[in-house]
Amino acid sequence: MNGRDTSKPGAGPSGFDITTIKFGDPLSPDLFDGKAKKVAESLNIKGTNKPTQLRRFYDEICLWGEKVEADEKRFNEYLPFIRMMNAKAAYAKGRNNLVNETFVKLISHCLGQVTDAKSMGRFKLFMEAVMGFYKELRPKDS
Amino acid sequence: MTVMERKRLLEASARFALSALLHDLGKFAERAGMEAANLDGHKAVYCPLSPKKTYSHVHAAYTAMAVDVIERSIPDIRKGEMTPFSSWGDLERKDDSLINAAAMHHKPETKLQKIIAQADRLASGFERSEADLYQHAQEEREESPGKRVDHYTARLWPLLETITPTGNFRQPRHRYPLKAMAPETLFPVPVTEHPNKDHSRKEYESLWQDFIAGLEKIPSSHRHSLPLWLDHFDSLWLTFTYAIPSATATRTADGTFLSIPADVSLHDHSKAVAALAVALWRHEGDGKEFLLIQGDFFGIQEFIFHPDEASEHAAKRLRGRSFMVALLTELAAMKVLEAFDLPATSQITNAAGKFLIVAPRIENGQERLQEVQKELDRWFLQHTFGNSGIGLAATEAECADFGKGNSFKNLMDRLHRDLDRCKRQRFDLCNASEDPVFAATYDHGACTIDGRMPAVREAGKTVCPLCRDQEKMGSLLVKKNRLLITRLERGPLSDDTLALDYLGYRVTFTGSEEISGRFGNLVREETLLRAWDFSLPENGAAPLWNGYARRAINGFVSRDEKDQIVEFSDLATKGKGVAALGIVKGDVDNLGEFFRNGLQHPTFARMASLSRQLNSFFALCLPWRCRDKFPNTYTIFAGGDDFFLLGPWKEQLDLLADMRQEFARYVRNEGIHFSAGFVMTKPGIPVPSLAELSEHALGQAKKRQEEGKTVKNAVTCWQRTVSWDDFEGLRGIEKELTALVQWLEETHKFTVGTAYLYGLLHLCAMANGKKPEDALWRSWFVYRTWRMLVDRIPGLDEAQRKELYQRKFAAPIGERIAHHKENFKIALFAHLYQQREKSQ
Repeated sequence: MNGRDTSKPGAGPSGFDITTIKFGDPLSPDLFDGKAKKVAESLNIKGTNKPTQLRRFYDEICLWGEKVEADEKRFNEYLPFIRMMNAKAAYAKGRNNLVNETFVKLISHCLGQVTDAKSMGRFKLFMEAVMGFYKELRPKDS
Repeated sequence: MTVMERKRLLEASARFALSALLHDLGKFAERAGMEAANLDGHKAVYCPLSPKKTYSHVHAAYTAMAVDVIERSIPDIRKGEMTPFSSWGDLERKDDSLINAAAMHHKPETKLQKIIAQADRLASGFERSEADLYQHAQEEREESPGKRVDHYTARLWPLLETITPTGNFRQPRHRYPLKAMAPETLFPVPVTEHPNKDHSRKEYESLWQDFIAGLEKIPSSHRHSLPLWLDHFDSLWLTFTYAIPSATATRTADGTFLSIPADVSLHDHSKAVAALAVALWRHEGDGKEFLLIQGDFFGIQEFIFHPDEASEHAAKRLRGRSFMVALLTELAAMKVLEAFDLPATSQITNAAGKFLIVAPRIENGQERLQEVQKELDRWFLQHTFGNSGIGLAATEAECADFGKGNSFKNLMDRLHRDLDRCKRQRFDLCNASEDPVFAATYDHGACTIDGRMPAVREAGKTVCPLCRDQEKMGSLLVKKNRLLITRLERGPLSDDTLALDYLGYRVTFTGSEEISGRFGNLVREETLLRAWDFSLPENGAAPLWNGYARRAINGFVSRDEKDQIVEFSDLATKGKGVAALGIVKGDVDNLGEFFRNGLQHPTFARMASLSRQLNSFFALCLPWRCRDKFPNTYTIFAGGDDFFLLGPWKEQLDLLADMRQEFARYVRNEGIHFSAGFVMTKPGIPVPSLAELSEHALGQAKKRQEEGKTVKNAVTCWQRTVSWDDFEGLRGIEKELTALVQWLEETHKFTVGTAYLYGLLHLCAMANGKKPEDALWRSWFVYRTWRMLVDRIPGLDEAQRKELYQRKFAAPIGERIAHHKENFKIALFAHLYQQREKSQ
């Protein structure tokens, strides 16, 4: 699949529909496994979505995840900053296609569901799973 | 009765038992082609005439001729005291000789002959009408369509292969090889083709010659004591006739077939006949003829695993205690036999601390038994403070109870119930006339070994006599291979005599070379009651016969170059990886069900056969397997249906896998299986804890479920319970893992860090987890494997790395974690502990 950018609204290259990613109860047993793997595959496009770029976003998700976990009461205070990752993703796409449209949509779809500490935690775990599977697909930062 | 009268009664009973034991000797002799002078004359005397006016059951004629052949090697059966038979010169009762009693069982005329004929029927569970058919049956059978076997070519069916928990008969596809009993011949072999008659005759001939030669091995001096000699003979008879089918006749004269499966050996049948015949002859009064006496050693765990104060010589003591359980059970059985003036052949089973004796119902039988019980209780109260003991249960029975159908099943149920009741009435404390609290004086304090029994001071040590004997036994067991049981009054025979009296007997260890030469006089002075060979097999194929009564009461122990038991701390270091012990405890699943309902047509001989066959695997084959393949293993106990083993941890895992396969090869029945618990510990852990931990692990294995049903048939290792198939699979994965680590080292000069492998343990737990985030394990596996291994292997391009990951990690590890989940830990632990240094 390297070299082809078949991303289109809502669907990955293998027909994976990112709108099926849901952090509300009940959680899909496949969320952190099969779905995360599919997402990783859909992000694996030559020339964009380098592991370093994705990791930057993942690191930020982790940072906010930890802050929220440490003090859940401040979630609403953090939320605008968390949502700012949408803008950062759009910027990264605009800047030499560092990330692609699929990633921007993924971030947007996931952030849209982050409404409390619990969903923030699940978003973090989901991205952790995606990054794990991405390691096999893009072991080198190229 | 006076002492002399009772002695004569015992000898007469032994003589009658011998006659009954030999009643089918002719089957063996005939099939072996024994030279038969005047066969026609013998047929006319001993064989019944069929409706077609031909003689059937020619083996009876051979029995008479074969007794003549062995006569020179057995105690005198013609002259002198011959009660209950007539002596050679007794013209009035000339037809009532021992030979005729043995050989006339198909044409009985006198009372004694009729008793043996009746016992023959009872042992086989025949009703009289069926027995008449049997009388005229041709010794030929159709084993499978078109495949006829006769009494030469028929081979013994493995009873264990034919049973199911519900009593439905399974057609066996294996037979016992026609050989003398040895650890390797106890395994049934597949029926490939039916042996031809010539080959069969040769096999029988060779077996017969070995039997005759084996007879000469019984020390001639022992012929002076028939009860002693008969015990030896019973072992010889077992060794050479355990694989000979007793019943081969299933086709009647009119061509119809009777369903008499060839699943009972000549030994098991004739021993049951001997026991029943003696009881039938001896019973008193009207009504029920038999008193079936069961014995049960209770508190075995407490006896063997009582926590000691002393830690040194733990291995030696453990060995001694375990042996002592088996020995005390044997001696208790002897005590019962002696109380009823019965020979050793009346003891039908003895396995794993339980025995069954067929006694006659006599007027003061219950009182005699109570006397024995009191004596046993006294001994155990004095030497164990009642923590252990042997309970006796008596069940009255009559001839009708031995018939087919529900009557015998009901008898078995009664036996189980009576034994159960006896277990709940230990020491009869509710009815005891003596004060249940008894005095004990501690003049020298408590024993420094067990920390509770009154000690005696000897050679600077303060220990109790029992502990002292147990340590002595532990030493002697590896040096000696015979036991002499003598009357208490005789005093110690040598330095190798145990200090205590054991249930009223004196116990001396001796070597094979000393026994007949030095102690022949003991037979003449009637002091030697039993001489038992407890040696372990030296050779897998050599007959288990050394000239003395065998008792499979000894386990295998690892010895050092000085012939001393290897201590646990040294045992732990033998083998690869971390120095630790593996403890294995297991037993056969659902055994009670098999015994209660397993046999389609339960008979007395079949029940005895089943018990003996199962016991033989654990008491004979297992110690031999240890000696042959697992030399660092220590059998704490193995017999009946259970086992408890200890050794270097890796060897125990290998032994478990091997045992499962060997047991399957032994029983040839996927419905019969065992479960086991394995625990790994440092050698310093106290012995009682080892017992407790392994017992717990076994308990976990017994809880294994499939589709909501408890199925057992499992092994528990490192707190994970798996089926045996999974266990084998996981052992395979462990080997692959070890090979992979080695391959990376050798081919890529890359060392797999233990952090990666330990990390997998966590992933295994997650794979089993119920929380949604546990599903992250796969992603973690990919990431960690790339980050910690694949990325770091030098000299590979990206395509090679991806290929390596898929081939060596994703499929062999990742997919298997997905399949085995947390049970994958068994493979991981086994691998990891092999990599660890001994000092860790």
